[in-house]
This record gives sequence, structure tokens and C-alpha cells, in this order.
Amino acid sequence: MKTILEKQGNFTGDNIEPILTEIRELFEGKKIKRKIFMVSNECLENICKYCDVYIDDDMDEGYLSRISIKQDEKEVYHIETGNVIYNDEIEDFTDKVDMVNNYSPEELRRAYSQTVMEGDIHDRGGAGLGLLEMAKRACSPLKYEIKKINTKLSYLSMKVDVCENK
Amino acid sequence: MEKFVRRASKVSPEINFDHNTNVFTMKGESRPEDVKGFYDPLMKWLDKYHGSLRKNTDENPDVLMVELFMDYFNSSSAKYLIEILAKLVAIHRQEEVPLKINWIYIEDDDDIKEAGEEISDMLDFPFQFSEVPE
Repeated sequence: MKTILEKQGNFTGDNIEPILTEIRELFEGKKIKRKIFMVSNECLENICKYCDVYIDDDMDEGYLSRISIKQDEKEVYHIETGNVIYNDEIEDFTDKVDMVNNYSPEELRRAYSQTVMEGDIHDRGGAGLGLLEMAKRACSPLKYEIKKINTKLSYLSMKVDVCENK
Repeated sequence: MEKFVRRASKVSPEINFDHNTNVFTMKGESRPEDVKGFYDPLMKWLDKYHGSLRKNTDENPDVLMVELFMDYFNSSSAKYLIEILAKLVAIHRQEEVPLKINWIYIEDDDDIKEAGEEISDMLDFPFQFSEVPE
């Protein structure tokens, strides 16, 4: 497994831009560039939009937001992210991912159309389409892992696999 | 009524919606942080444009020309892009004004091409697809 990119920090709308620029540069000239960019952008936007969680100074550095892109020997790119989320948001998130993972390609297309046509843009700017967009680009189900930090917060790790031929 | 014009930025597209020529173009990348703040004024402009067409039935345009040449748009922008096009399709259907939507994409950019095909399906309106070299 080759690590192509690895970043961690307190991601905000402003400081994700250099990461996205770097991703573009790293994949310049490769056909998969757009797909990697699309998924990375949705992942980073999700971190910024949904995780306005304050991390206090006492919290372990391991709980900073992160993104990495790794390439395995089968030319599959693994886009992995991590961020702190509120415990009361976990169920909604995992339900959505589980549902998206169970969709057939046709159901995914229909769910996407329905969300686009009927869903509202909520205050934080999301349209509820990010996970569907990721699933459309991914070549295997979306994966997640949740580690409880305390009664209020958990750390969410996510992995999206992207392949050239899907 | 004034034209709706926005310059391109790193995260937002160039927009030129001209009610005098009825040519509506969008080009570039769309992933503004405040997607609502960016697109709501355009939605309002389109409502005003529709209203002005109704008042001036004698001056109905021959054809509405839409040209979209997007490099990338995030999922929140997709929602707005579809709403903008849905408004134009509604104008075409309600006011019986001809409409052409040209979806331009860079050769081999299958993702953007497919996105255009999906949007065309969702709106039940045929797009013209134009491939341009990188």
C-alpha cells in the first residue's frame, strides 16, 4: 500500500483549499484525477459542514480531522477521512450510510434524483447528497468505524474506495 | 432588469445570464462554501425574468439558449444547477418558448458527461452534448 497524501488538522472551509489543490497536482494527467477530487471534496466538505465540534486543548491529537489517500497494488485508491462527531449524530449518519450501501446502482440513481428534486439545502449548506455522490463514485461499499471518545463525542473514520474502471 | 453576471473564482463558476439575448451561460467549477448565498440571487433573477416574459408577450424571444461548461460541481451545487435548469424548462413549457440546453464537457470526462445525462433525464428534457478537447 502506497501513501499518496496524508493530512491532519482542524479542517475548515479555508484550509481545505490547499489540500484540494495538492490532490489535483498529485493526480495531474491521470484519468482518475476527477473522481479522486470529487470524492475528496465531498469528504472534506462533510467534515467542515457537519463537524463544527470544538476540540479542546486536552483532547488527544489523534482526534484531529484527517484525510489520506492510499493506493494499493490493485490500483484501488482508498480515500480515508477521520473527524470528531457528536454522539447524537451517529445514528442518523450510520443509518444513511447503511441505506446507501444497500442500494443497487439503479436505486442509488433514483435516490439521488429524488433527493435533488425534493431535498432542501439546509443551513449548513448540505443537500443530503454527499453520501450518495460518494457511493456513486466508489467501487466498493462505503466503510466507517466509530470510536467513542466520551459521553458527548466520538471519532468517525470513513473509507471510500475509488477505481479507474467504475 | 439587469443582466446577471458573476466572474469565475476558484470555487464558483462564471455566470452570464442575459435577458436581452436570452443566452444563459455558466462555466467553471462550483463548490462555493455558502452555496445558498451564491445561487439564491440567481434563482430570484430567473423568477423576475420569467415574470418579465409574461408581461411582454409580444416580445417573446425566439429561443432560450443555455450553455453549461462545468469542470466540476459539488453535490450542493448540483441541487441548484438542476433547479436553475428546471426553472428554464418550466419557462419553456409554460410560455411555449423554444429552449436549447448545450452541455459541454472535456473529452474523456465521463463523470461530467454522465452528470449531464442524469440531469437531462431528471428534467425530462433532451440536452445537446458537446465534447471539446482538453
